[in-house]
Amino acid sequence: MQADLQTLKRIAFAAADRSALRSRIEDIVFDPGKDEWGSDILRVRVRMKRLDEIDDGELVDLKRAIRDDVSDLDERFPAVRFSDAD
Amino acid sequence: MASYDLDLLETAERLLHRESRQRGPLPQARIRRSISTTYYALFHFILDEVCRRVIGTHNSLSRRRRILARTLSHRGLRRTFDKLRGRAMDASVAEFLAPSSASGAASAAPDFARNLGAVFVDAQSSRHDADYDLNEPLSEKDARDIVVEVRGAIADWRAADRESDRDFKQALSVLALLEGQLRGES
Repeated sequence: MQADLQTLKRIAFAAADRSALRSRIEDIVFDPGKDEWGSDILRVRVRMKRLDEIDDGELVDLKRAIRDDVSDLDERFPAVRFSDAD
Repeated sequence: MASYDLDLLETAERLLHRESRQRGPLPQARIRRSISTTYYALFHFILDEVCRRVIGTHNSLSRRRRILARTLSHRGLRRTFDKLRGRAMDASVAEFLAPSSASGAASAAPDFARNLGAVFVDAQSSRHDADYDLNEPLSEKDARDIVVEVRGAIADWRAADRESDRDFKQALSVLALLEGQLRGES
C-alpha cells in the first residue's frame, strides 16, 4: 500500500505537531527512491531552523514519530533525515 | 572486555567528537565514517545475538559462532526485519514467530524487536548513502541520531528478557539464518 506524497506530508506534520520541535520545522520533503536492494523507500528530509541547537534525544523522538506514522500508511520505508534550514 | 559492537559505537562517537573551541560543520568524511561505523556496530551486535541463540553462549563455541556469523548477510537481515515492520507482521512469518506456548499466528512483533528492525533498516539505508552517494546530504545530527537510536535499540533488546521475549528472539534468529524466507519465496 502506498499513499500519495501530500497525504504523507500532512501525516508527518501531524506527528511533528505533537512534538516540542514543531516551531523549528520549516518544511518536510518526501522523495521516493530505491534502496541498494532495489526496494522502494521514501527519503524524508526535515528542514529545521537552528538544527545544531536541538537536543539529540528530541530529534530521535521526532524521527521515530514520523517513521511510525508514515509506516502505518505506506509500505515504503521512511528514511528520515534532518538538515539545517538556515 | 567490551564487545565488538560497543567498540564500534565508541569509535563512531569519537569521529563526531568536537574540541571545546571547535566551530563550524564537521568534515563530511568524519560524518560519513561515523554513520557507516554505527551501522556496522548494529550489524555485528545482531550477528552475535543470532549466533549465541542458535549455537550457544559457551566460550568453547566461539569458533563455531564466528563460522556461522559469516553466513549471515546484509540483505538477508534486511529481508528479515522488513517482515517485522508495520502494525502486523508479514503473514509469511507470523505463525513461525508466534509464541511457542500459543496456537495460531502472532499479530505484531514485540516492540523491542520491531524497533531494532526499524533502526537496522534506517541505519543500513544511511550507511549506503554515507559510503556510496556523496550527492545525498548527511548532517552531523543525522550521524548523532543514528548512534542514539542504535544504542537505544540494543539496550531495549538486551532488557527484554521474559521467557516470551527469549522465545521470540530465538525464532527470529533462525529466521535471520534463513534470510527471512521460510518457503520458496523469491
